[in-house]
Amino acid sequence: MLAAAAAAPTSGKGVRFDVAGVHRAPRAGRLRPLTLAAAAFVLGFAYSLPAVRDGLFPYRQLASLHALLGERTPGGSAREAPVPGRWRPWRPRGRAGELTPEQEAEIRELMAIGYVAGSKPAPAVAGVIVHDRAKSCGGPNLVVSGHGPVAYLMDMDGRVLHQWTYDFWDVWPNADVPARDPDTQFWRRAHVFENGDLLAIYDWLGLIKLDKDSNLLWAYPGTCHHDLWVADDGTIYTLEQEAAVIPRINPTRPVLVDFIAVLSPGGRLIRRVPLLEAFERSNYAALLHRMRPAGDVFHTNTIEVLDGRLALRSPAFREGNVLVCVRNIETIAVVDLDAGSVVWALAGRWSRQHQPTVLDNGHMLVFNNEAGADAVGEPVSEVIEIDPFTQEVFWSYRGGEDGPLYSATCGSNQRLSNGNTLITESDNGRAFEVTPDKEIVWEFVSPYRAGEHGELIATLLEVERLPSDFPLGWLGGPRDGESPGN
Amino acid sequence: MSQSAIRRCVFTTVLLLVAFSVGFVAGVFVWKRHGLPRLVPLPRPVAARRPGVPAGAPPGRWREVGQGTASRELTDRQRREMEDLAALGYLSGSRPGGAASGVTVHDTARVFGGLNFATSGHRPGAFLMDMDGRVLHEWTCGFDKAWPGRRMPRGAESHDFWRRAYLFENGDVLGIYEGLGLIKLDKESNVLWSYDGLCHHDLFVTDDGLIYVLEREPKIIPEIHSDRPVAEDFITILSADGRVLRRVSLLRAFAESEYRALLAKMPEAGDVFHTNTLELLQGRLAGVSSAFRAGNVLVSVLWLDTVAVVDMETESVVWALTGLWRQQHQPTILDDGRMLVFDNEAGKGVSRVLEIDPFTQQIFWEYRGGPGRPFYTSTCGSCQRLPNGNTLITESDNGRAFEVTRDGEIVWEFINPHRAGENGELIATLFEVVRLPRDFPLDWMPVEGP
Repeated sequence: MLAAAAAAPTSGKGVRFDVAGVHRAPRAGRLRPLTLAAAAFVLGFAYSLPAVRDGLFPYRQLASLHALLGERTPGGSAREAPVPGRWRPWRPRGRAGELTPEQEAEIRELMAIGYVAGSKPAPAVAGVIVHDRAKSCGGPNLVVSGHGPVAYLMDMDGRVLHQWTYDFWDVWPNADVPARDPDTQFWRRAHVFENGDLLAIYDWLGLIKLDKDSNLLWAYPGTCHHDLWVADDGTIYTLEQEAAVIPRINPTRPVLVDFIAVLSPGGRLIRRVPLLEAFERSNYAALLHRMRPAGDVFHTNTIEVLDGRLALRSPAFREGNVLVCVRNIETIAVVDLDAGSVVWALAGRWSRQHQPTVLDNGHMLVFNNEAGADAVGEPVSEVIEIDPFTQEVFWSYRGGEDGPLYSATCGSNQRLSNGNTLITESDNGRAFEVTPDKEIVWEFVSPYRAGEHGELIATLLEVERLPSDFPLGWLGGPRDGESPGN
Repeated sequence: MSQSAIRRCVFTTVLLLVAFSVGFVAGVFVWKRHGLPRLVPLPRPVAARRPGVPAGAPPGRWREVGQGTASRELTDRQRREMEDLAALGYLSGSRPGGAASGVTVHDTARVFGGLNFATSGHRPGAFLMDMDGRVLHEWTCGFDKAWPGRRMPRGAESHDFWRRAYLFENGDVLGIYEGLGLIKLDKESNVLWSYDGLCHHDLFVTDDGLIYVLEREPKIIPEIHSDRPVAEDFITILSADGRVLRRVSLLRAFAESEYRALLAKMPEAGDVFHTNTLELLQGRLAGVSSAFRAGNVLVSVLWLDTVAVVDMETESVVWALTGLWRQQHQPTILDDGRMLVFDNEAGKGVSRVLEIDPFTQQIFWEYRGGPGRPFYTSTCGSCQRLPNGNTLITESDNGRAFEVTRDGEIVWEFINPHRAGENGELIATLFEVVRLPRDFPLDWMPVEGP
């Protein structure tokens, strides 16, 4: 605040006043610079009172700048990574030493490849470290990791079956973004089709479709971010964002507002529904008062098209309406795309949440990033299964004996067909499958490390378990042993 | 101008700029850290009755209600702010009064007839009125008579009225002096007892005579603001004769619940909650959600835009809803399990009354005025569902209460005939009109009933 304030007031009322003072100074005769400076100091001090009280120039501008700066460091844990991608300090859990010799070997192998080559092997675990075949819900895992613009398909034992990758600058060589923009360096989310095609999002930069051999099928240069949903007919629902000066939110500074974008299977924009107007013209306009009028006002991070499962309980949940998670107003909402209006919303039970999803039983699974603190004051995340209407919580997971679940950013959850829940603890590069009794029956720790001592781990943006009968005929032969880092 | 003169000029300009900036930054730092001083009186328009508008600054009276241990360490400024919090309240009137007054609409065929029990800003008391506007009985008791010798906090002198009242079947009444205390009078306005806790806004009387009332306590809570006091709201349970049985902190109930995220919206200090309604649940909805079991308490927290249920056993919030309303009042669970809510800020200058399913959030009915029938009160406001399906609505700022059918037709309307303000130029705030059933016992009344 102080630094910003000291740098900024170089124009405006105060300045004009002082210039007038200067012109008068020589004529007034021998006013020493020190006296003048003291007077200006007193004036500045005096002016700061009405400026703070009534939000006058430049206080308001400084305050919004301050708010914007605060906005740009989510979780406060982001660090300058030595390599491209998205990395976070790795938080060891009480599981080292329980490794089989095979696992140790695998870790050594993994540590020796890719970006981490040359760094000291961390005394750490990596790969699939827990796998209870009897209790886990088998199937291939689609993994999106922050170490590069990469997604890969991994079996339950951690073997990479297939990998897709595409360099951002090969898609849009002339894109108007900084060369080292981190969002060019990894995919925020991906969707795999049954024929091996893949959709992937460069956060806030665009959406691409690749075939199974990572050939570019099409690229959509919208400001897609965070999430996408593919309907049965191939229609793609995703989130977009626009910067605009919206005087009713902030008269001077641009803010970022989100849109729901609907694309054809071929990547053409069919329509866009502005989320701000959807709230404003709804019964839920009051929730906009939770908004901080600066920067990324919504930070919408999940989209899911409803199948009408809950329509009998509430018409707001009719088929075709869209469930969105609006992180920065701590709200989960349903949007009627035809009416362009929010028809249901819930706030209060979560903070900085991700990935609400309606389950077969009509409950909703939510990744609540900031669920409070544990007994020793460590922050905790929580996955809850909640009735979206009564708000009753039927199941929750906050971590186990080896430490709390916590991811300040990202995070994902998926209810599996056997009743287990697959949870991605993104910042910690970890995904695991937990039974209703909270037993971990499968656990995967990202092998991608960076930093001098491997203290950084690649953000695991999402691990999605595909059905065990997901067609893999397009894979073209076994690929055992292929390493994921090439 | 010579070269050196220009150089001197530039040097002086830069020096002045830097000095001004440094002064400005120092000022910002000081004000953010220690709060704004009161050198310049804050604007206080008559119509803006936002709570928390600071008043004069006499030192010290808060000691009677504050935490004894902390009081000695307070600065004068903190003490002043606490005094302001203790004097929080409403003006007795805020809008110019019109020509019409009394009962202006009365469709005898379609109203739900009965008695009207009303509290108005023109005097400390309440009155009972029939459907034609005839006053049947009145209670009144000034602050001085309620608490002889007790000094009213400066800034609170204009709140010598009842924010809310409750009528017993024997003619006794309970009345809340906003932010000052609770009193019980008999039918002849004799004081039965008084409680000098800083009661405010609302009360609920159980079948066995227990009194649930909202209370606030100004104090320094470092977790909220390092040195500015906040008003902590409580649900206080009093015995039938006015003794404190229990107090549950609403702030703590939120902070220690799964709904603590809602506190993000709290003002940084001062009257952080402004809880304005309390209703003891009867368990009507317990079959749908255990949060609504009998004995839990429904509250409306204005500054959080939240309606919540507090479990009095665990002293924590077990259900909350926000989003459909702003600065709302008077949520109440209806016989069919739906909830009626007065949404003060439904749009620019528009209030509405909503009937919703508290779970699916479906809106089944709403009233928001119409062309030529504006409906708005920025403060207070109340609503009551009547047995015939009509809704009695109090539009407090405009001193108006009316009964509306499901189709939105007004079948009864009452304009407060009382005036307030220094020269009687304002219509007295009509805090609440409650419709009592036609068979409400009136045998205690000294004069004959209607």
